[in-house]
Amino acid sequence: MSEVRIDRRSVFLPKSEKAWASKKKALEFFECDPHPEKDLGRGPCVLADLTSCSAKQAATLGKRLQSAETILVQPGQAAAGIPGIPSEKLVEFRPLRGWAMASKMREFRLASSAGDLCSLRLFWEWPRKMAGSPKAFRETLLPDLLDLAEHMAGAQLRALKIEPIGGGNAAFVAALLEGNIVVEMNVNETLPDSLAPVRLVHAYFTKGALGNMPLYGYENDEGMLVADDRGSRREICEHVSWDGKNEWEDFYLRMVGSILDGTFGEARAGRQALYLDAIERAWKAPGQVAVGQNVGGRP
Amino acid sequence: VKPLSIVVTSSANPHVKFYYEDLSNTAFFKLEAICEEDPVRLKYAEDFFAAKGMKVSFYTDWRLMMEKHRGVDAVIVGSDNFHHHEQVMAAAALGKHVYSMKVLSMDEAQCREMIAACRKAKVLLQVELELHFNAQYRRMRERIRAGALGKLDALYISNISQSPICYYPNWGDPLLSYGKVVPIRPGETICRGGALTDHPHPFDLARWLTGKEFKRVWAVSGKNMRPQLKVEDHVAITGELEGGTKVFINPSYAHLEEQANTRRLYWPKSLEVMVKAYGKKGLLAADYWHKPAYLIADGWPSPNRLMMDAAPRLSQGFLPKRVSAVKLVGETRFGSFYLATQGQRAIESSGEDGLAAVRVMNACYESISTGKSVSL
Repeated sequence: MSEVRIDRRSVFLPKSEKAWASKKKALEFFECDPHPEKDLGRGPCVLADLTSCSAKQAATLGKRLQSAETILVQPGQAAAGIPGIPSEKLVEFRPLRGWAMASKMREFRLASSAGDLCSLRLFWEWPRKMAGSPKAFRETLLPDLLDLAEHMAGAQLRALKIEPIGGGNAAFVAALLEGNIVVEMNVNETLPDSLAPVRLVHAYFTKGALGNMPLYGYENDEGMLVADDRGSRREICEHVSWDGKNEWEDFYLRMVGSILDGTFGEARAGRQALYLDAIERAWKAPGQVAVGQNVGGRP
Repeated sequence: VKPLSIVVTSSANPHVKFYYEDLSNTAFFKLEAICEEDPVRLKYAEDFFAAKGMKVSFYTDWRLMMEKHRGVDAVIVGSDNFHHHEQVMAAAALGKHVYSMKVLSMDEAQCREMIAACRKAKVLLQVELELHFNAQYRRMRERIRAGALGKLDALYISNISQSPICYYPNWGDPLLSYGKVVPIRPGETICRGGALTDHPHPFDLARWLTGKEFKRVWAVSGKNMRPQLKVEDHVAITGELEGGTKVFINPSYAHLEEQANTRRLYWPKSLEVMVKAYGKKGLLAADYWHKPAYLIADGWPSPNRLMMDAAPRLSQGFLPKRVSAVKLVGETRFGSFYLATQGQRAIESSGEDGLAAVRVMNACYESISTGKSVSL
């Protein structure tokens, strides 16, 4: 079997890029070699990543950028453009489009697997310790999420309502996309520090649904999630006058209740000896052991 | 126990069947009669109580039933919303306690008349806002009201279900649910009376959990998932409560149902009622389905499909078959009504609570229609 080879390709990555090492790692995965400014324009370049460049810095690169097939820029810069560079070469930096659920959603929609999209729910709930700045929340995260919604839905924003929450990085968002697709967002970076971040989507179509949301509860955990910065726990509250903090106490409570209301099941006095004997023999035996029938009650 | 004698005006509201179970296994109520105009629902009721060995009178005219059973203590108003007003007013005029399915009426003036009539007749009026009896939410309420979360910044409440129109066709009729035919937006064919009318719980829960009233709402309704549905099946709402708590509410029929004429569930689940309370000091989150069970069986609703149902909880809002603790009676929708009629507790979800939710829901409809925030 012959070896599969791909010619290594060149990507322009400015020397000032703070994330040089991590970006280099990703580029090398795709057999691309990052090159700094001095090599720009010397040969074909599949991508120029200018996301760390200011508009002025991008402009100074001038015609040398013309050798790049695609130029990745911050969203604001894509609108302003780069002198001498055709706008169709510019691609906005939207990392959330890289989320696997976004890809799945587009795949699902484009294949018309479930009819027409009617609504989208997005949950971006992070602990406070992972929050960005208020400026990044408003100017990067919220636009990125709106772009994600448009990208997933394949429809453009038509109406937007934002309800800022509590003075922090948190907001409820309701939006309408063309075609009357409703988008709901719960964007909150002020959760207690004890909680893990969640990033969830649920899309509802005329003939189906797609999502990664828990089927119940906050993270598919039973009971009520109770969280503050020090810790989180769940309480399986069975009744308002029962705190549900101890599962063994819950078992006892329900056991007594079922005895009193007659649903506990039949008495099985004497089965314990049978169990112990069977366990002792099975523990030592290489194969299965036979267990007596109807010893001390019906199994 | 002195049983409360009771009649049922209709089972047009599908929740009434839950009360058939309660009425068939309790010493707290004595079911005397049921009125049912629909022959299918009538047969269901006849068969159900015959199988239980109970002697119940059946009628097809609720006025005749109430005339014949003038001595009863209480009336379950289980008809479509459109008929609630006339039936509640008639019950109050006869001095009967009333247990009404939700919503009381989407006509606020009618709600006020019903509340006033019951008050004047000195009879109780309970509206079925059954999520008050979910233990998780009750604990959440205690904590929020005790200030355990500090200042409450936000509440997220979803109330997502299937549309019941396949198996309850009356449920998709805007006249029967909303009381009149009003386009969701000017010139549109979709009308009010769908998912928003069917799901008063988030509006009620927001008030009940916090003790605060709504200040304003903004709402949007999108493309219906079901082309055949005449009423809205999806609404997204933002709003604010007194004290600055922000609210997001999703009352929708976003979970698809099977196309069958008997009620079935559907994977992944039929209902979602998720409440998240975000405070300065912490977070609480609880789902009505906090004890899930995954099932696949040929003898269960939706045969041979994997589905999620609720595992039994100690307190599920229904009367226990055998009373092993008084606490279990008082924390049920029907048990609490019984105790209230005996003067042992106040009504848990009153006509006033029902009206308060309806006011917010109507403000949401107005917002959908105008595209503007609506102050309350």
